[in-house]
Amino acid sequence: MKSQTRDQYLLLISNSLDSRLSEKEQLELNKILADNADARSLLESIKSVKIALRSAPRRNAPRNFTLSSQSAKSLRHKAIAFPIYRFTAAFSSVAAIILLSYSFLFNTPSAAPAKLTVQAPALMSAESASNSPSSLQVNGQPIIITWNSPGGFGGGGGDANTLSAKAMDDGITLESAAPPMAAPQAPPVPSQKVQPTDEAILREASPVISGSGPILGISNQPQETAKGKLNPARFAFPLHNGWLIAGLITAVVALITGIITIVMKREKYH
Amino acid sequence: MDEQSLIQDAQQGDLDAFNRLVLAYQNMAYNLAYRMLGEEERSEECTQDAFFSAYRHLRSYQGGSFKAWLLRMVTNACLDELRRRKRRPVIPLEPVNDTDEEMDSPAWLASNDPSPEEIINQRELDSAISHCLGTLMPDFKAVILLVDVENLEYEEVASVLKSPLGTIKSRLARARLKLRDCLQGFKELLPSLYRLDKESEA
Repeated sequence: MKSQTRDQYLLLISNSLDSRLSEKEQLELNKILADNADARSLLESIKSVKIALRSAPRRNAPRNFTLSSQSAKSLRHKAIAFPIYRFTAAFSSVAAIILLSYSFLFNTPSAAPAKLTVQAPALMSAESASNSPSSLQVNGQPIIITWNSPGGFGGGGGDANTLSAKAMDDGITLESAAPPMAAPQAPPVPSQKVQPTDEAILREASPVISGSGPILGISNQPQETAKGKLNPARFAFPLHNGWLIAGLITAVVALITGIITIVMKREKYH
Repeated sequence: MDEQSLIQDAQQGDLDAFNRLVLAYQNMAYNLAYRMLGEEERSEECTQDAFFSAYRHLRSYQGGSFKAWLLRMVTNACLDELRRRKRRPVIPLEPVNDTDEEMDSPAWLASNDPSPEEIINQRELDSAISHCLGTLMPDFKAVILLVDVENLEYEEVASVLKSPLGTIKSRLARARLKLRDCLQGFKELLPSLYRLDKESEA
């Protein structure tokens, strides 16, 4: 209770020293001073503090702080450069976040095979390329274009026919969506009747896969084709890598300009 | 040439006009920085930084008290420095006695120089005030220095520190009270004029 009262008259006393009291406040303070010895003591001691501070010797500047024309010019240039660096750092940071987010979140790996499918006709043999798109169907079935590895690199898929070294080495294998062997789900082909050969019957009876082809989707062939040239499809640059690289470059720019901005701010060039 | 003309010329790129303003205010700026920081070297750097900042932002000055505008630069530079110190505190070198024990501050603050009484009194008061100001929070210190040392109005101080008027009044009252409590520890060193317990002694 006493503390609260002291806080109240402390403010009044402090304001009174700078003549900042209204008439009403002055009357209130006079009443407090008349009744309270602690308030009178406080008023005197705080008045002494004010006098002491005003009487304290003033420190004069040890040197002149005037600016030379060279330092003024330098300050002007830095004052212009600072907001530019700051804006560049902020803008490139936002751009880097957007580009990297787009690259990692929206360009899923499934986008890359879609592009390869579009490129496939250009790499087909002249005989196949001369045909109309509808002629690319075999026996009315849609065509699946497989690049190098049957069933993808994940291993698994494909049958004994396509899991052969020959299919791997050709680069492109066109096969029918319907399996060459009669499957229960596949609709029967009216124009052609597939007669199972003795070899097929033998394979069906004995599921052991033999040969020199890849095992579990791992190719044992070199990266180069027979002519010594790199396979363009294998080394095609996926689209989403472009976004990734652009994002990384922007992030580097953001980092560099950000560091410069922080250094300039610490050196008070702003 | 009056101050407003100098400011206008400086705003239009006249470096000589700006330097004349610097010469007019550099003692005041340095004194405030010294009272805020209590160190000559850092005070000098902060004063220089404040004038650099004033030169860069001179175009943003739109009238009013130029003194208050300039003191804002000095105060901000000093508050930045005090914040830096708070992040990376340094241990001051305290004098030790023969038994390698640190001497109490009031004792070592007393000057033993054989000099006239008036100079000694001033030095002792200066040391005591510097020590006690060092115990205040930076914002409280800035308020009491701007009001009691630089004679700024409350409204100007509120503008310099960008704080409400009520906050300034409250901080000033508390800073004065705390300074009084601290200076009472120096009552034997202070000249009789500044003894804070004369009321109670009487």
